[in-house]
Amino acid sequence: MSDELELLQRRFERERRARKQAEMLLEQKSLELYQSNEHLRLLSDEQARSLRMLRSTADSLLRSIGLEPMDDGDASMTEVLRVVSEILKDRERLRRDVEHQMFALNQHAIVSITDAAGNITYANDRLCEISGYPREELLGKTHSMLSSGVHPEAFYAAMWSCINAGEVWRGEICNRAKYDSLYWVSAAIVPFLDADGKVEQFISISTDITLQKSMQEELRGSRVFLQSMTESLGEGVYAVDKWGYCSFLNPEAERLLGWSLMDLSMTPLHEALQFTDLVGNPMFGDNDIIEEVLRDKREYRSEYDTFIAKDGHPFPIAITLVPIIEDDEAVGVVAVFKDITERKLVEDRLREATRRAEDASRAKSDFLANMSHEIRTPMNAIIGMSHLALQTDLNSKQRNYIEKVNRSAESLLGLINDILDFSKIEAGKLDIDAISFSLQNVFNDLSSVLGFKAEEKGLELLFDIAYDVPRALIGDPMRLNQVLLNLCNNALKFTNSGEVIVSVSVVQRRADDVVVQFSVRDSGIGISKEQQQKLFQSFSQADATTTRRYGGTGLGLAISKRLVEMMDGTISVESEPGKGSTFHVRLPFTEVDDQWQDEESQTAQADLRGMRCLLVDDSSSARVIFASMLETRGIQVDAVKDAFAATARLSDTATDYDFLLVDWRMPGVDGIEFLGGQRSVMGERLPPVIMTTAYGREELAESLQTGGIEVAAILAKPVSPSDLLGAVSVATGRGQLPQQSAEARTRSAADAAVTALRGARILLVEDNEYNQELATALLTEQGILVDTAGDGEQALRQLQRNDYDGVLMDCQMPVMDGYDATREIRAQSRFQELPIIAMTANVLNDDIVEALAAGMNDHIAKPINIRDMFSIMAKWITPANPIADPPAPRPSQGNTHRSAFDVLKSIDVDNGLRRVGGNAATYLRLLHKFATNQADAVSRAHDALHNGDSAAAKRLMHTLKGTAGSIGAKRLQQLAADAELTLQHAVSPMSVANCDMLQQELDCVLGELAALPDSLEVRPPAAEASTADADKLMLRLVNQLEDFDTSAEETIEDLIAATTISGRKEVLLEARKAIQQYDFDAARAAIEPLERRA
Amino acid sequence: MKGIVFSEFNEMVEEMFSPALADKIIMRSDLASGGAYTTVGTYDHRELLTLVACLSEETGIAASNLVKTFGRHLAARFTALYPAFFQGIGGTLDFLETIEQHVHVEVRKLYPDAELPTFSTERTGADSMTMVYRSRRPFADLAEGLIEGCASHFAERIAIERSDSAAGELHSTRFTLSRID
Ligand code: HEM
Repeated sequence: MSDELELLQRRFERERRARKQAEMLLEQKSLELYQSNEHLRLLSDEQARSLRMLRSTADSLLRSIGLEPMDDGDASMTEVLRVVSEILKDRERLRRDVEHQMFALNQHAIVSITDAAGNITYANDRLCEISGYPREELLGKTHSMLSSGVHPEAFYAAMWSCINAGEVWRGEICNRAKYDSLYWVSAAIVPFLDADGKVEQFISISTDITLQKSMQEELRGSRVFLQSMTESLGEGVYAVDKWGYCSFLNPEAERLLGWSLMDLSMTPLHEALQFTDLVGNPMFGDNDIIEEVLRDKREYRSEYDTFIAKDGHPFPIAITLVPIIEDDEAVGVVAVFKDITERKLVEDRLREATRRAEDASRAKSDFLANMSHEIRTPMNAIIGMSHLALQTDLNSKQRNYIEKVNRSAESLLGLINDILDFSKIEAGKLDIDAISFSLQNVFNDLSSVLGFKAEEKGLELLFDIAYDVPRALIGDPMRLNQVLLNLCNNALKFTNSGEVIVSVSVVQRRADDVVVQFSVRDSGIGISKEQQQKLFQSFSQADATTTRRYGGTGLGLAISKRLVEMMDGTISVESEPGKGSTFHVRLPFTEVDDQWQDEESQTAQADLRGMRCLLVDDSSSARVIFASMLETRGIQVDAVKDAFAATARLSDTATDYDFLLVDWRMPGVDGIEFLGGQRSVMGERLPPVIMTTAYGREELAESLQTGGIEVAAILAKPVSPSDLLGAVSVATGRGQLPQQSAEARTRSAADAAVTALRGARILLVEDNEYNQELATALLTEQGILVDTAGDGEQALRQLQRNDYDGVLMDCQMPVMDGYDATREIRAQSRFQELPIIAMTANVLNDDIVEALAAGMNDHIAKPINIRDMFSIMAKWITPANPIADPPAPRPSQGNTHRSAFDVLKSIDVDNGLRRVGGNAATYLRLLHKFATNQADAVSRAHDALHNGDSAAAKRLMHTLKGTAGSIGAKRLQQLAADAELTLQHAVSPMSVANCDMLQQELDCVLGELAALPDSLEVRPPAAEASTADADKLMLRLVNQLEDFDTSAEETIEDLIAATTISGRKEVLLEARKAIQQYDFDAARAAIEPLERRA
Repeated sequence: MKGIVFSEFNEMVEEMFSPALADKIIMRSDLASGGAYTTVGTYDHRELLTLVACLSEETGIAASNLVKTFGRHLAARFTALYPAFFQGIGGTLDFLETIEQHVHVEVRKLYPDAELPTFSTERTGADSMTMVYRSRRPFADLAEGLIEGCASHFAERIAIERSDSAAGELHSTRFTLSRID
């Protein structure tokens, strides 16, 4: 408390001093201010004078129009101005009133006055205007100058006699204007008599009726026009009266029907036309169309009626009947009709064509769906083999190539799956499952597939699962996953920076039925309104350019939409260009008891209540999500958005935090710098730390290590609640033991499956040799014995000869397929219980059903998911002779050879061995490879720098750092890392001193490596290997070299081990070197002489 | 250096960290001005350096990073205080070109005793530019932060590379800026 008072006191003191200074500055300026005020005063005197003058002017003006001058009190400038402008406005108003009246009069009438002799003495503007004569030309003339010649002499004579008799004449007159145009007026001429009763003058008042006249004219014209139009219409037109008798028939109708108006005078028209429907029923009696139209007063249209012409031939017509309504009464009907014989023919042809097209498209869909097998089989081989290849020792270039192959194949498979899915949906062949599943598993899958992608693009992927969302549901997890995957993939694809958030909430719940909403929100490029409408159509991305930029079939959303609809859900999008998009998917599920609960219950029960956490993350979404995960478990969370605020919180000694949850990448001061700073300030008092990162997990771990900062856990975003809580338990030591992550759980389940299968003897029936090889490799690697058969018949023969624990059966095979083979096997009573598992690339439900019907026990989908394969196998297959212990682990083997590495002084051998799982042989191979590949790394970097290519130099240093690390050459690794760092900052090129040190260390390491043996004598002594074996190996080696097969390296190792003759061994060693550099041709040439001898 | 710079700095520390920390570093710094700044007054720029050094010790965050952060803070404040400078200007690089000829010229009119750096700019492309900072005071970090702050005002991403050199009294830094989209 007193601290705070003191702080306030000090702040106040400073404020006061600052104010004093400011006052001083103000005083300096006050003289200037005084002068300015003087100046202003002068100006205002001037203004007062002007005002007085203005006011006296106004007063005199007021007096002049008989008003009181202004009060003295009102003498302000604004009042004077108001009065003056009021006066002016009044005047203007009066003037305008008069003008308006005059204008109205002149609009209204044409007025002229003539004397008794008929001479014009007055003409108003309207007359001048309409006649075109200026007033001077009219005055003094007679009206005959306007005579049009339209009226006969008698017309004027009658007029004159009327007015001369003193009566008013009314009538319509056509006059001629100055420039020859005619105009009509409706006139009244009034004679004025003098005292003697003689006419003194005539006043003529008339109005212009030219327009009415011309409209009458037009009306007549249009009647004629209509008449001629029905004649030229090209369609039949007729009219009937309310009794059905024809009153009008145009020439086209006459032509089409063969009847004339005369012919029809005695019969109701439709009786003559035999108005029938298409089947030939006459349309009279009960449902006479004409009667109907008259009665309902409603239009009738049809394209399915037939008329019969006078000569008896029927023809299809398109007809429209319209009632003629007069005073709400239908007094007749007008009909327009057309002979549509031609059109009907075309329509028939079109229908036929459409039917054929539909057939073709169905055939195409069928074809595509069936192609599935054809395409997946080789894809299986590509993905599987590259997967296997990646398990082997590869140099970085190879790894890069193979990873690309693997990734491209995966994405190709993705495309193919899209297309197949789509055609399956189109062909109606896709089924939706209803099984119970764990939502968490769906999200675990999602995060393992997408986490990497998000990381690659530097995006944050966050899951926000509301607490009331049930964990176990009945539905189709695979399809749900597919839809979410697609939406997330899109979101990641179209977002360049920021985050993608998947949130899940329950929007409706009735008993066990829930509707769950999944929303995928991105901060990407967004989609315009027009694009949104096309979005869910097939083959459409937001536009063609994005397709080109981002790839893809454009089928994803269309498929998602169909899938969602098949699951009785809805999908929608909200988006604003430039702001990002949100896709909402709503799906109905049924909630079930949580059978997975046990797995998570331990952390779930751990008591974390009352703990206090400081959460530092720049993403507001991440703060909200993490805070809610923690708060639901009773942890009190202070969330701040940057290191500055966090520093302030920590320096406030009043609160102690149990742990910190810190994001790595934040603008300004990042998590590592923040923690480093705090560690030096707080020392041991720094609470345990959990770090999160959306990307670069490895890099983070490395930087933490370099910075010497210890954290309790690193979590990769998206983080699931159970991962987070597990990490909290670990960090704080509260609650139960750390939980395995879901991934680790499945992994250990798979491990258990593998152990259970060891020693099993399996018959693999598969016609495709790649697949055969792949499956064999995967199985034998795990201690399973494999025999192979190429088709069903071979399989039957093998079964007679040997006992198997189980059969893996491909379905499509030549000679005898898997279904037939299974039926044959099951036909034999001793094979009733033999586990047979189908392996098929056809993932259509039909195939699975067929496999089960043929007697197979289960089904493994290709491409093979290794974990799934083992767990399905373990479910059915129990080895008759299990291997109780796993195959002796390699490390023990390696230990006996630990001494071989004693020459290595600059290398941490234990560390290096650990990195290869203790396998001494592999380690040795790695060391040799390092010597071959990295010997000239420094000089190459030097050259690159010389040529100005610092990027290449940096890359070389990076590789050197990595490989040195992987063999345990720590100092070399450090020096290479320094060099890389120097190059990265590109401030000064790598200094010569640096280079020298690095080169020295490298030389030292290389020198030690040179002293290593070529191989460890772990293989059987050479004597035991028969020459026949050596020949076989040699043959294999030659084949492998010719195929550029990298397993040549293993073969040659075996050969070297089996060789004792020294000359021969030398040659082999040379060849091995060539192989290690992937120079297969050179290796081939090197062993040429040996081959001949063999 | 004008008081506005100091009071903005103190305000930033109070906001970002806490008033207590702001007070603490003023107390520790033992400044000639006693930490009582008025925006119109003029103070020794080394006081700012002292304050920053103290703050760095207290927080463990590097001084240069703090100055840069201050630059970003100042940029945000400038956009609020002097929006006219930013109006009608399309992007960061365009804006930076106006500093020497326009913005700092106006600043000088307002505060005749301001100690301003000089900048020379040269466009090297539509989206790139070099900008050289020269000053008798070592505030290149501040300039870098200001540049970053301007970039975020224009919602652009600007890659900044810099190389520093100092000759006697004169500090100069070459910034190579390029816009990434
Ligand atoms: C609206 C924009 C700006 C305004 C109003 C402004 C104003 C100021 C003011 C008032 C000072 C203090 C002078 C003194 O203390 O005596 C200053 C100094 C400074 N300004 Fe600006 N400035 C602006 C934009 C920028 C930008 C974008 C940069 C960077 C590229 C920049 C770089 C600097 C630097 C580095 C100093 C410190 C003095 C030195 O290094 O010698 N300014 N500026």
